[in-house]
Amino acid sequence: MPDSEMTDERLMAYADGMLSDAEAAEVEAAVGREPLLAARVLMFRETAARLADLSTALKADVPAGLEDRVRALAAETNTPDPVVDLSAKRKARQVPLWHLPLAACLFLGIGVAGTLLLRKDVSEIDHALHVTGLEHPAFLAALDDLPSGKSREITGGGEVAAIASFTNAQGELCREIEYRPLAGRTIVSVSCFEETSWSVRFAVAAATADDTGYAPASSLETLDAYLSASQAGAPLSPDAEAAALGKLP
Amino acid sequence: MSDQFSANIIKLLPNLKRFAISLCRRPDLADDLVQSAVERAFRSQSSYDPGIRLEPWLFRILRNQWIDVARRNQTRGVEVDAETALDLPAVDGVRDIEARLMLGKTNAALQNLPEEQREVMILICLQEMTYKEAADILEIPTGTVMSRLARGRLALAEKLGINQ
Repeated sequence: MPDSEMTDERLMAYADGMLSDAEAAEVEAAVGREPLLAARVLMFRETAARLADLSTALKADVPAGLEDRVRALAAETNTPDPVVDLSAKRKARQVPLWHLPLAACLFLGIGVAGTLLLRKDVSEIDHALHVTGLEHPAFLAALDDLPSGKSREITGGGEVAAIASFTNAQGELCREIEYRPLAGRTIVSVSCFEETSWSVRFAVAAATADDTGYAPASSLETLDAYLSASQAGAPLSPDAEAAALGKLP
Repeated sequence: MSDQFSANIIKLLPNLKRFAISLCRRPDLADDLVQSAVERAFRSQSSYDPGIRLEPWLFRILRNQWIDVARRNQTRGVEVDAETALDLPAVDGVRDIEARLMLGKTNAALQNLPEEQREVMILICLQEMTYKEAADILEIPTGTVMSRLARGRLALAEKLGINQ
């Protein structure tokens, strides 16, 4: 191979040990013949050595704070998500879904803080419930005895449907019930039995549809968020549910 | 995210810091740069191919992070006295003084090179990346890396009085 093919890059790669054995042998032979090539290789080696010395001398302190922050970051990213996979649960309940516009949902936001106790005596029920329709006696009756997966007609039109029962983080028995009036919005609600009576913990109003069916996916997202926040347990089996309901005062 | 991944990154923090300093020339800024690059690395773990070395992958993230920061703040022009970048232990004896002087000269020569030559030299001759790894980090062809490296070392040799 003519020495003119011994470019600087080639000599450098040889000096840096980046060539294959065959190529290195070729370069070595050329370097042996030509002192100018040898001087060039030496220069590459010398500069590499000087820079390596510099590298050793350039200590970069990693402050303890930086390492601690990185460890904290690593720990954060490692924490598994404690939220239960509710979409799987929902499938287990076999709830059919409407396709409704997302804007149709109205979250009533009763929530855990503002619980409303449902009393058997209708006249004592909080007026606010009237808006939701949850004060209807059929709703209360459904909580007490309608098995999940079943629905029941309401006198005056419409129906209630029991979706699922579960226990929450406090060990209370809770039920997801849908109340579908003839006119007005369907209410998806979660009520929990608190010592002596049911109290509505969550409610979301979904838009009505012309055909009968269950609440749309969009309202279920809010419900799922509530369920995960309250650490809802898995839906009870029909037997377990019947037993739990039977034990209520 | 695996514990091994984060443990390996923590081991590389000193290298990351050193590279960060070579980019932004300020130790305090370098810490922030390393931290934000590590955050990005954690978020992008799924795009890391365990078959390649972790260090070049991290360096590329760090360098791109720096380019973003520099573009936003236009701090590219910050100059730091080349001498102050050196952190050398106290010396006694002639040999040490000579060594110290030589290191100072080498560092000064390096800092005075054109940026495109300096960055390949830092990656390959100081940070021990291969030509290909440097090419991946800088997002340029390997051939370009090699020609810049060769020219840079020639220029360095000239400044340091090394026979070429």
